[in-house]
Amino acid sequence: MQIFDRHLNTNFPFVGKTTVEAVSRAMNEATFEEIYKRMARPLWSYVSRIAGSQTLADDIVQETFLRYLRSPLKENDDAAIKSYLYKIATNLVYDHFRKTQRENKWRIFSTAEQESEIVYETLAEESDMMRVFHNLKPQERALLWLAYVEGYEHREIAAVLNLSTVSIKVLLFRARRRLAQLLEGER
Amino acid sequence: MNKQICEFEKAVVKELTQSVQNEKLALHIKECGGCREALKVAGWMQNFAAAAPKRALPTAGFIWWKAKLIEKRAAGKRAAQPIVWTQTAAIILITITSVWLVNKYQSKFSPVIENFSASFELIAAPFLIAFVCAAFICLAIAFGWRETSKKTN
Repeated sequence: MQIFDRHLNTNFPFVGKTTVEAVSRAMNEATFEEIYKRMARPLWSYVSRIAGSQTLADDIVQETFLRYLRSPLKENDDAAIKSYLYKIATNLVYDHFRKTQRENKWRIFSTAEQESEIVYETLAEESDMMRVFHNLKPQERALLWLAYVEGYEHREIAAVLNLSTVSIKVLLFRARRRLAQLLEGER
Repeated sequence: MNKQICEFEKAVVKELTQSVQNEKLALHIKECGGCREALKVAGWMQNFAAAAPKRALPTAGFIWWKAKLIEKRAAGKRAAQPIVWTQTAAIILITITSVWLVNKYQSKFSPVIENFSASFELIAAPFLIAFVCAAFICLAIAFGWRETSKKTN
């Protein structure tokens, strides 16, 4: 059993790795529930905004927490857990975009509905704000969200997006400039 | 307008988020295009975040249950792995033994094979038997795998 292997190795060296009881001891349900209650809603907002689909956000948030349970952090620090969850979710969103791109590349007879799935959902449910936001690249959306909504430091953003701290400064500047231009264009 | 991020930008954004009035900063915002832009974007982003739809999320209990279920399945598969390996090893051993036996007692089999088909070459007999055994192995593995998958699911 791979769930909580790290915890099992350190905290419960004599407990069989393959017992479900060991899993429960490594992290109990109540602890997880607390973390979930605190983190799930903001994480969902982040994912739904950068992915542009509520349905996709549901799946990604669920998968993020499943992966967290499979290999949780040793630290109980809220900031560390949050950063870890955001990192998993961001990678899942990027993977989804990459997969979609690959599929579209090889899809000869794609329907218009398939191609505009995300656009359709966002346009139907939401306003011009979403449309403006989706003119940005996924990485730019993530950068802006983490910087201006979550209030993350550059090094924290770098950790979540797997980028260097130095490049965050430039990328964030470009993303901000682009959004400002888009907002100007909307007027 | 600044070409890079202004040193006051962070304080400006903080100003917006905490609604703190700071005269010095307010004066700077008037002069600094970069900070004005940051303030505008940050404000827009926060309105955008506030407008996020409220959607019912699955409960923590459901996620917990699902994680355990996935782990149980994975554990079941891992537990069944030695059985599959043993099956495969046994079947390979049987095949090799069969081929060896056929080769060893070929002379005894040859009259039978000659009667079976005049055009059938003796050398092909071990290969035919091996082929039949291999097919049997594949079927056995597939069946065994399906059964263990059923049990673990």
